[in-house]
Amino acid sequence: MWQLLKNLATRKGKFKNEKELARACASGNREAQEELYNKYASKMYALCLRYAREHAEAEDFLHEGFIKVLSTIHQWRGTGSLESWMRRVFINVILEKLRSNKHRVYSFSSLHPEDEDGEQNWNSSELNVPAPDPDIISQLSEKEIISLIQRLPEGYRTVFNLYVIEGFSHKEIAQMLGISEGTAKSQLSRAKNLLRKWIEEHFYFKKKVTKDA
Amino acid sequence: MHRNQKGWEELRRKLQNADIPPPYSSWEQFHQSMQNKDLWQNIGRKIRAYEHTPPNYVKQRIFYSGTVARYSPMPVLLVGLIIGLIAGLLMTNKNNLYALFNYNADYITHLERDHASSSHKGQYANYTSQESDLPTQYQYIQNQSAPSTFKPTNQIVKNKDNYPALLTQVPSSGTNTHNTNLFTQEGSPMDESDSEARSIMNHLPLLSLSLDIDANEMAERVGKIERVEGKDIANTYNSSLSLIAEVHGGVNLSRLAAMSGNGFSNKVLPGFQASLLIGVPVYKGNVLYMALSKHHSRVSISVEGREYYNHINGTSLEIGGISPTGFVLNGKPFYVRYGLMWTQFHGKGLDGVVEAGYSPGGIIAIRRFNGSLSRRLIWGWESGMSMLFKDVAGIDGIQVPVNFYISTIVSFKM
Repeated sequence: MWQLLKNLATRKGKFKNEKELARACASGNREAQEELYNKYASKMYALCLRYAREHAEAEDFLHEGFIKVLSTIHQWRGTGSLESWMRRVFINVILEKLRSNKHRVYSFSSLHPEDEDGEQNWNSSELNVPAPDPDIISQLSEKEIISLIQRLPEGYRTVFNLYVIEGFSHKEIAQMLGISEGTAKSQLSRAKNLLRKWIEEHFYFKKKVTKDA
Repeated sequence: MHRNQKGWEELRRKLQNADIPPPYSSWEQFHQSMQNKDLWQNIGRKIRAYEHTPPNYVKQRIFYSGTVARYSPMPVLLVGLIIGLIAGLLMTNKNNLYALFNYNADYITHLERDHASSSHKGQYANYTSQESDLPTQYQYIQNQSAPSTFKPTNQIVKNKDNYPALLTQVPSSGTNTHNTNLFTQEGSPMDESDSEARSIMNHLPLLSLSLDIDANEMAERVGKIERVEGKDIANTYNSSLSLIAEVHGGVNLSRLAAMSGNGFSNKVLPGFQASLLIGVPVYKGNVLYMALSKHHSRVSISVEGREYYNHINGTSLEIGGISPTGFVLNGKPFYVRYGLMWTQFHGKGLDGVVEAGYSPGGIIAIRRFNGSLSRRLIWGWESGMSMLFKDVAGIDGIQVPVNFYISTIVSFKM
């Protein structure tokens, strides 16, 4: 009971606004840090899941991301939302971790044999890769979609997340990952193709199973 | 929005607002792990501070034993100097002691007498060191009974206050038909008939290598290697049984600095040197060593516009120490090697007389190990200078040939 009340109190928030929360976190207030964690952990975990291969890796990202956030929160100027800033910090942490994982470094630039000459092969028509039906998307849960994204090869997954979900441009993605724009575009179109296919397959399979049941 | 993009937009909206609670990560767990991380960071900081090392642990793991940097090299320096002095004196016989304090006059006297009695009998007849009231060197007095083919080439005259020396007559090119032993810039050869000079010169090393054995440094490095393997560094570090061998190959530049004398200038010429060294660990990374060195140098002096060359070849016994400086660059520490030298040398004077004798000297060098060639082989470099306090150029007064040298060191565990 006490725990429930405590949780409710925490949810409600002791701090008036984000700035106050951030300031308290920066000063090392454990209560504020706990509130920040409880408030954003779920959202950040969803973000981490999209970039990770599996849950364990996502938890690592989450952990590292929060450590980074709490150690640099004094740098947040309060101009945008705290959540946006945290997202950016998390993405940086994730990319850094992916990059530092030496045996996977290659994956940004050459995930697939066809991507080695991706810049040459890519053409603008691939930008308009058919999207999955919005109705299908709305009927799938976040977890389902994320698990499909996790099936993508790492480079595809990273580029897809950065472009489609976070809204970075190809130029920015190329800079962040140290690859060419052409490669980023190529990987995005391949990721979209694969994902659309898997989403549709998954949806129809699920529908069939439900129907059979 | 085009239908084609609507699906992705829906996906974006959905995932951006996704809210999935982490299954195992609660605040308590996170807080605990943060504390653990802090704890480990603190431990790491303490270890690094203890080792005086920058955070890049991997780069420096082989060579650096930070512990040693905290100790002053001064005790070892003093002990090394004292031992070096005692050993040097023990090596010396009466004549050598006389030579030490009298610029080796006695030894040269014997040499001259022999010399005079063989190839140029009579030329040195008027000289005896006992009769001379001059404290140093010898007098080379023009002898009227010299063979007709021989024309005296130079004359060193000393006055009562015989410092500095004065060279009064310098041969000009072509006037010295005998041309006994001068090394001129034009490359006049050594007199082939001078068998004594030849026999001495034949003993000169053409090429030299050195083998240094330095127990404590090896222990230090072995300790580092073993730490990588997770073994106890302390026992290894204090071990005096580990030995290393070092092969040095290096070149030097010699400069002859005159402490007294005038009428000449000097310049820098190349040579080479090498040594065999045995070290004993004495105190936390400090090493006492004894080394046998061979060196070959050329010096040049210009007397009244004419250039003379002189070879100095020596075998030196060194005693000294190697200590950590405490200065670390890119995770690799610098060591200082310092010692006293007692050198048996052969050289040729300006007057053409072959000189041989003993001379005190000193060495100071900075050394650093750069990397490992294999698990047992380590390479680095050493650079420094060594000095002889001796009149090795045949001019009165004391000249100090200083070798500035740089060597490559390849060490291996024994």
